[in-house]
Amino acid sequence: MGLLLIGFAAERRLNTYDPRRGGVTTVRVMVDSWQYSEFMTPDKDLERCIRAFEKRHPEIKVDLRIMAEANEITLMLPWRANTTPFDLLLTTNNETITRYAEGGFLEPLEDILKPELEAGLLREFLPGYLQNCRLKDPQTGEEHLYGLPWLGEIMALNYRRDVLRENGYSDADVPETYQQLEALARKLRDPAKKQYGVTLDLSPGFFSQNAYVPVLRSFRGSVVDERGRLDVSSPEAAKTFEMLKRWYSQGLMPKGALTPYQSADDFRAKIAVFFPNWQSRGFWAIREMKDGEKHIGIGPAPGSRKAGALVAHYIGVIPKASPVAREGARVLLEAFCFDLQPGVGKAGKMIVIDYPYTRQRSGYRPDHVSKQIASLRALVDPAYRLPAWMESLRPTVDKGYCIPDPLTWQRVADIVGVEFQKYLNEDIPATEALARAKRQIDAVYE
Amino acid sequence: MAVIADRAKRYGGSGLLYLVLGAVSVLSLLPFLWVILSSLKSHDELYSKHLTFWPHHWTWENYTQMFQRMVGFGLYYRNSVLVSLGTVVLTLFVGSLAAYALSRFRFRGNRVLLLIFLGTMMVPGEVGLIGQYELLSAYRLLNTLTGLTLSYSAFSLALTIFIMHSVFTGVPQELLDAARVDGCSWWEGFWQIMVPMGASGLAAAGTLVFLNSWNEFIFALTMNNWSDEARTLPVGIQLLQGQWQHWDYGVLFSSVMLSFVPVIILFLLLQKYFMRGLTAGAVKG
Repeated sequence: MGLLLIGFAAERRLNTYDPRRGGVTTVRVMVDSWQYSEFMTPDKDLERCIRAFEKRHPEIKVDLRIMAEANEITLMLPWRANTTPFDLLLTTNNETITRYAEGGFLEPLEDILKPELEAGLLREFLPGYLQNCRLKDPQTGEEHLYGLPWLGEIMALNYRRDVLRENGYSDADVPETYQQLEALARKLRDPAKKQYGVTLDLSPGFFSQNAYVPVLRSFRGSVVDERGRLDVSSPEAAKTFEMLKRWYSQGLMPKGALTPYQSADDFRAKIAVFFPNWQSRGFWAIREMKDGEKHIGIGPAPGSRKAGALVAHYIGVIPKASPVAREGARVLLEAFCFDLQPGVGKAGKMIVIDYPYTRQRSGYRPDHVSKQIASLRALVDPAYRLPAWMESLRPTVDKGYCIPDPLTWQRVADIVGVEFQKYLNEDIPATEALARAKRQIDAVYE
Repeated sequence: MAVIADRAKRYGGSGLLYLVLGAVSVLSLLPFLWVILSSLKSHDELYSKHLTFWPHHWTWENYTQMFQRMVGFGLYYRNSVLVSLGTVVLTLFVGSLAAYALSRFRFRGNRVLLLIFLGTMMVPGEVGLIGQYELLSAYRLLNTLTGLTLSYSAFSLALTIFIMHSVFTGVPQELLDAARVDGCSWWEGFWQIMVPMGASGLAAAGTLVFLNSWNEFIFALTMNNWSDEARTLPVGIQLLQGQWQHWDYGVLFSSVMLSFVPVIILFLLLQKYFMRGLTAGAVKG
């Protein structure tokens, strides 16, 4: 009992936070555990960038804390009491930021980063990755910049280079449309060898984002209807349902496609040849295999050259309750949006600023930029070169799009996912299944 | 002939029993064995389209990687030990005193109180998650080992009272009466008669409480997620999960393997008392 009381007293002391002590301001930074571990190899870039920032700014100390994934949402409890255990969150994504902005929990960055923004800071970012960073203030209705992206994802076509080679194909034969993908997948299908042409994540929780939306966009050029809701009524929506059902029922895909995450393992285990999904999935396979690049390739998702690719990004945000908002924004901008970007590339994620892409092009000549921007660009390692696959995906980022209406997305996505599962087992036209989905989606909005 | 038939019946019956028990044992042990063996397989073997049971190439690579990736492994391990032991000590102390009072003192509402305690065992712990969160938050005990220990103790109390009540009820009243005649106070009677007599029950309750605290995840994740210093091992293992639930299975298996160790040691040490304690009070004359 005595020990417990001593422990209690000691822990209370440790838990006391004093943001400005002895002339040093402490910024508490939150990263997800996966974000931290993605940068462990080869160079511990995340740690390096933070230490470099502290060296440049001895008056600021960065207290990096690692959280278990998807727990950020619990922060809304202290935020409601106008307090925060963190001053900078790197875990927010293009979906969750809308929820926090709607709750009025985020600090607008316009005043904090005024000199940089006036010097044209936003032009440094790829526009595809700036989506959802500007959102409406729930009180005033005015638009504000609530965050800056620091890590990007993009829907790509991951493929087994080794299987293509074994079957007499090369990278030049990688399909550019879903029709071409279907044709080649049929030729590569060989159940006796436990080999399937393609796999997608068709499980109810992921179907909408990872299968329905990218295919629909490639067919129609848009994924929303005239009211801005996920389109489930166009002829292209029906075509998408029909095509995916055909692929599954005709055995072009392994059965694991219906199990969450199994498609990634099937691709990794050489069971499926093509795997349209996030580029990270392909990169992990490369990283975890010996001579991975000989086995795995990453290219633009079918149809994305024309219609753009689905993008997702992680956005640094400052909670309104933070007592050190300005310092937090400096850490975000310098350490993460610029210094860390080569590290982002090395970790197989998409770089979110334009500079590393443009400076690598032949005939590149530095453009004239303000002092603030030049000093930020100087933080990007001059020796870093983008991998070829990332360059090939860049045009699809420029036309990139995010999931529609993040505030209702989860419910809408589940409805479409479940309806597709039912449709797989029913002998009805796709339009009928989609009509059921539409009724439920309309109810969500009502 | 009748003797042979009788023997066949007897041995046949026990043979069948052993067969069933053997099958159940294999089913129980197989997942453990699978985890142990898989933790010693290479990446390529784990992800091969052809499933293997025994590793083709034995490797410690997953363990090395696990220590590299889970930076605070030692700290999380220490925290788990502290919280689990703290919970065991606090729960056994408070729980056995409560059980002593409930089994030996006749007072108004005695039976109802016991039923209320036992009734809380029927309610899933998660029901109290938000309430406990707010309580710990109000007392600034979030992200502390003390807070988690108190939280676990509160939930383990009913189980301890249940076990110890059964054990103490089985202790003959004459022993306590004799001690009282010799000048023992109730307090001394508890320490000098009930605790030694109920040692096996304490061991059983302690083992169960330790197991529950050691393995507990959801409270540890909710209460202590914002502090690396106060994180326990199950949450530490969760940190190995990659983006979009991408797991490196080899690393996962090796971390799970290491988390087994104290539990197995504890069980092996206390196995005899554990079995005796669980059955104490089950058969009363």
